[in-house]
Amino acid sequence: MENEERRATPKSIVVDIMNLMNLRTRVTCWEDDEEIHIDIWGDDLGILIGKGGATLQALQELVTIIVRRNYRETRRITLDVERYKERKRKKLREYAERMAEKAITTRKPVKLNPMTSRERKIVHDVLKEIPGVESRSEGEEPSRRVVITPTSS
Amino acid sequence: MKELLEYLAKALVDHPDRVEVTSVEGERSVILQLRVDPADVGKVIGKNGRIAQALRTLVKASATKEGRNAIVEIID
Repeated sequence: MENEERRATPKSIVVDIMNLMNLRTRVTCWEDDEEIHIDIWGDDLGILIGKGGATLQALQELVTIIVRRNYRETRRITLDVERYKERKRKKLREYAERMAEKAITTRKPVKLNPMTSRERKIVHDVLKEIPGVESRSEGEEPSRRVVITPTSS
Repeated sequence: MKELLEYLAKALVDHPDRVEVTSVEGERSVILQLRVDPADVGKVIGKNGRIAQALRTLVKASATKEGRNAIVEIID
């Protein structure tokens, strides 16, 4: 840490933090022109994910700020723990598909659970691909939610 | 926990040599007091306190692992 000769990378910063938290992990990283993605692997990492992913989000924010300010990095930095975010996205897509089917069979609008804007975007994108339904968001944050309506045909 | 907060704070500020963390240890909880150069206070608090909140979340997670509660105070 004190050694200025060693150039820190997003990955090495995450490894440092894992060590300081006394967590046994393996950290892998891939990057392209737009994004640097870091995956953290290990057993019993629920603590690193936190309620609703809050700890993972905090970690991602801090690593992003540290890398941006120290190394003039402008690419998006994303972190995941045991593919938590990916699994969550998959569940969200499946939920959207089930609810679309419900709207079509009952011919009634279906209100989904409140979600963050990012989650709603994933849901809207799924619904766009499903014929026979339309979607919009209604309500105020943080209880803003997607409503699926069957299109009259 | 002290080392974790120190590491993160030093990486966020312009004057890492002025970062100081003192801890008051209780049986089930620990209070961490973070001091930085006056010019750097905004850097550890962030817009709407976002960075301070992220620091607290991460330090608390680390404390939970040890079965303790952690409180982070930023002294300015």
